[in-house]
Amino acid sequence: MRVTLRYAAQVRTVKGLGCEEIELSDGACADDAVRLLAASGREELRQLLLTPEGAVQPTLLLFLQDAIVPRGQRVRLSHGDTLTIISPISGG
Amino acid sequence: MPDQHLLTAEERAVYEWQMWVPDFGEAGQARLRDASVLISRIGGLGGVVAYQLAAAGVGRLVIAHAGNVRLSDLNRQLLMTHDWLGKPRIESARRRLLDLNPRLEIVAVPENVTEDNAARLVEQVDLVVDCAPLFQERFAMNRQAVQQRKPMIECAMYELEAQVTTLIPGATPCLACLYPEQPPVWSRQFPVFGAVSGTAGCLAAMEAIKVLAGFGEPLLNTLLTCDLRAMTFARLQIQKNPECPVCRTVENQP
Repeated sequence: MRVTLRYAAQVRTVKGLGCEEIELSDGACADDAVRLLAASGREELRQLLLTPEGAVQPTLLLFLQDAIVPRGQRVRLSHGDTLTIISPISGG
Repeated sequence: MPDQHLLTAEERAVYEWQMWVPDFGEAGQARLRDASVLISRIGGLGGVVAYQLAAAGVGRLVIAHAGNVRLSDLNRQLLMTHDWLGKPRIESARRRLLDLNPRLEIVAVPENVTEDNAARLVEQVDLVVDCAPLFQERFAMNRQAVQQRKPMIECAMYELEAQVTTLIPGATPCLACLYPEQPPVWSRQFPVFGAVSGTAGCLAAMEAIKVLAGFGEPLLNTLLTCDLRAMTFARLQIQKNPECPVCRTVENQP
């Protein structure tokens, strides 16, 4: 299935683009998309997305369409979904 | 029918144009005048919040910010002036705010928010606007805002992006629901145009005005994200974390 990933904040900076489509296996969940993204880039991207143990960073905000993905829940994605990935910001 | 004696003649003259907003009016203006707001740091974002709230007629501002004015402040920190380089930021801000609104009561605190002073600062006000550049300051203020049941406008920016949401203890998530721990990669220095922090500041000020005056639809359970690179705006739905150690505890209190 194909899913659109939207990037914001430092994730966008490190990726160098705002969104892209990726191919995922049927039954994949939001965390799987994040892990696939982490594996596709530099170490800097991996550190933004994953803990040293390989879990999704607990401070990462994920939104499926317009609704937050509750932390720790396996939310399955469907073909055509949009997953927004926002790293935490506090610029003032 | 609003009480025609709520405001002085001068106040009525200054705020006439905004009192034409139908669901705001003189009663809303009187609520702003009687309100107090803490703004944590009055730099690129908080400075615009403070300026807009001073202009709108909020009666009392508690502003907290340490340090002296630097050259690198001046691309965005609109309350700082070139002639005040090397002198305390908080004093530059105080002067600029009073130039705009001499009726304003200001408590100028030359400190950043910490675990030690957060309770004392939050207890002085009706509402908090969180504009701090470091998460530890934001977390300290969030804990106090939740404990003291004070609304907090949460706003932040990075590069050409801005985010705003309104946190009401008991009704919405708190900051710790969104970020359960210190983010590992954030640093105090970040790319910023003043127009981006100013946009976030204006949005946050409008949220504060709506909550204080009791009109409009604040961003409850909603994170507004603004991408000024593409001029796209999104309303993203957020929710409480039932495991949150900060707001779960408070909600269990009678």
